[in-house]
Amino acid sequence: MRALQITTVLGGLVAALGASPAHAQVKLLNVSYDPTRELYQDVNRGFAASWKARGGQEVEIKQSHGGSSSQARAVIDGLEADVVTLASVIDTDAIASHGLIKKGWAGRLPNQSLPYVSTIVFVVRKGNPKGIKDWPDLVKPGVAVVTPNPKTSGNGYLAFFSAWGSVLLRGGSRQDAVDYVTRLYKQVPVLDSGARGASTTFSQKKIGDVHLAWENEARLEVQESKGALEVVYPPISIRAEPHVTVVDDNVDRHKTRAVAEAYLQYLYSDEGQEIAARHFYRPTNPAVLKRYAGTFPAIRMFSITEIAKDFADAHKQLVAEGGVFDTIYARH
Amino acid sequence: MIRYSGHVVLGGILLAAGGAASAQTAPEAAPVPPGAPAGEPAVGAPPAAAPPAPVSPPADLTPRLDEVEQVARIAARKQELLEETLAAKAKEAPGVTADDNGFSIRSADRAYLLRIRAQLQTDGRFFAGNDAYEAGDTFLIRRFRPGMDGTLFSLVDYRLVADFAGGTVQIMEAYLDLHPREWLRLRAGKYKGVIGLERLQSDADLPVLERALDQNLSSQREFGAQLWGNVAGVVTYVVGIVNGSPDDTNPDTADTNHGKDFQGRLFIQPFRMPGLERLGNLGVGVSASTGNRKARLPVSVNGSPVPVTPAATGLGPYKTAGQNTFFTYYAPANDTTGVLTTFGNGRASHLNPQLYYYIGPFGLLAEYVWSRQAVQRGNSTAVLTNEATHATASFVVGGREGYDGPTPTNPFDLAKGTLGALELAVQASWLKVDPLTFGDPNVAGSTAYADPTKSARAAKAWALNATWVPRRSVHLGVMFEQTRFDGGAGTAMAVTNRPTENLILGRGQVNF
Repeated sequence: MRALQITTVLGGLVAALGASPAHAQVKLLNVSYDPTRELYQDVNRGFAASWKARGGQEVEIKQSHGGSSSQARAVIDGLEADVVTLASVIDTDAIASHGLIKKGWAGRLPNQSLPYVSTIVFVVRKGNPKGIKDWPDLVKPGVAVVTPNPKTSGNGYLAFFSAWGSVLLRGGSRQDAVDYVTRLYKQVPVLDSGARGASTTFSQKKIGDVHLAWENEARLEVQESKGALEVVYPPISIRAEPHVTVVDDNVDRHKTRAVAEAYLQYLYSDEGQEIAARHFYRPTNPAVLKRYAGTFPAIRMFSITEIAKDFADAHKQLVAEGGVFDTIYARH
Repeated sequence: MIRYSGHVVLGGILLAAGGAASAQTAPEAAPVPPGAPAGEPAVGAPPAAAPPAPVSPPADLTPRLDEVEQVARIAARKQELLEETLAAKAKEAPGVTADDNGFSIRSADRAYLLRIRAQLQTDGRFFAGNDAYEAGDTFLIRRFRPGMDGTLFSLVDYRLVADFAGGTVQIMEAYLDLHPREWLRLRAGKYKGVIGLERLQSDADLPVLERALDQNLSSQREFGAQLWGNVAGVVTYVVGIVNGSPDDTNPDTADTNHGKDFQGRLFIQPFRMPGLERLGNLGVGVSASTGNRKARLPVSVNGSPVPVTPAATGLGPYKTAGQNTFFTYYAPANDTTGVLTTFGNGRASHLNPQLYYYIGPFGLLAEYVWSRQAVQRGNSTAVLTNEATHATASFVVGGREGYDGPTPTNPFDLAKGTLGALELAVQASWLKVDPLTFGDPNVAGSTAYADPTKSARAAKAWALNATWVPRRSVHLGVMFEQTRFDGGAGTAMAVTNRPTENLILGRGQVNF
């Protein structure tokens, strides 16, 4: 952590010396996925104040949100992101494969560029009228499930991976898993393109009995429902890993590398980790996580490597073109 | 409450439909006497009672109503998502645009683009104070240049422009521009060279309708290839190799000599750095070129006169804003041996410091051109140095000035009562030919390379210009330019000055 602070301070000094004039405003664009709006509003405020206090310029950070895969596509197509904070490594790697992010990007920040992690949980109606506690409950007759499209949304494919893993890691076969997700997606009446749209479908449009959501999104949804919704933690779910990185091509062209790197390093600071925890993202700093132990119930968060080689492999097998999702969703 | 109301409404629908459920639960209606009109109360029936209080549907209907309600919500949500999808797809669909910048078609991913371009300038050119010049009073099409440009697979830009004015077709520009990065681009084909900041400015954007005298010392177009790019929006560089066209000419054909010119340009716009934009747009730079244009000597075929076009001699004429030639090297039409004609033979070099500054409505552009050319006439050779400079100041009333022309704050629109902008400009320019061109005064009988009774030793000009700019695509301008000469008339024994040229030029322009 001390090394991190030194790096951050040095980054600030470099940026301050490199800026001309010294107090000119610098702008960053953070391209993120759907549910991180509120998180990064607070992070941006915190970082801007911290950066200025360290002698940096005025910094204005703009945010762009949408389905994670759609956001990655937008960056590839020219959206001038200085940093990307997307739902999973698949989307970040998609940008890297076009040469916009340098190889080995994950090793540039602590903890493989993961300042926080998350998982997929259930949101149900008040009193949990359908008695939903675990993954098998989702395919009971009469249960309508809301989850976004796995092909366009990080929430969507992580929910798919969770459902898949919940069968395999309890001893089920691949065919059992295929049968399960087939039944599950037959009970999805609406496929939104992103996580925020799915929240709208469930909480505002009052469609469905259960919403498979990012943990942070679920908690926010419940908070805003004023008692109309509840969170249910299934015993097992995936460990979601939203990586962060600078977009090398863009920061070099914008001359914003120093401030962009400092912005991401801020996520690892105690202040940044506290902000993440307050927004229901599980901080990767153990000390901060311990302070928020009451906020984050302990469940089995399985690693993607328990069901596939890595996220890319899981994506290819399950939701990419010709994957399992295409075969089961086309059937109904 | 919303849920409850929904139940009532949906319950009503089911009851009205007379389904099995409603048959079981609906209250019995009062009998209607025969002949009574439907919908009217029966005679003798009790007066209408107050509207009944809302009644919750029976408990056994609730699950079904919930189900129907869900179906309705799902249908509505799917409709919303469908509309969102259609709206998103509409944004991604190939686009067609038509505006002051022209007409364009682009692919959904913007990787492919085609823009249709056109430039039309119709002039009225008049001279005052001299009969010889006034004989040239005329209306004419100065430029008619349709063209197209665009992008292919996000990597290659292209541009094709032809000029149909003057009754002939001439390719003005035809090049491709490969751009893997903004700072690394490769251009190849026919395009503007590096000499002349005003030359590099589009004809359509000039604050004074005709170019200044110093542009006589730069070629109009070049054939060649260049690496160029823009670094961080601040530094523009060019390094290239070109055929090396004679000054103020636009070559149509391939090079006539094996020597090639090397060109370079460095242009810096310091106020493009972040935080300095409010200081305006300052550009300072220098262009240079050099090449050994070892020409083939003009050859007579079967005793006919040698060709004396600029392409053949490697030397171009110098013209005024009124397009009158005031300087030309010896190139007699009846020279059957080639010994009477001056032609470029050896190194030709140019140096061109340049700057502009634009802030709000104000603009200033100034440059200097130094041109050195080795020439030969008969067995005599010389290295001649010509120099020229110009400065233009402009001000846009009701708009912003820029190197890319004036932009009205409120473009002309009768409905809104807006008139566009008025661009006012003043220009001074000067060109001086090397005195050795007319023979060495210290050497009796030395060779002259131009006729002092036809070619001026120097010219000075000033111009005033006013252009109404209703919209960026339409200009209506008028200019007055006076050009005075040193030499260029009289007799060999008594050289006098060419008459002063007073040009009044009006122009209508459409450019997109």
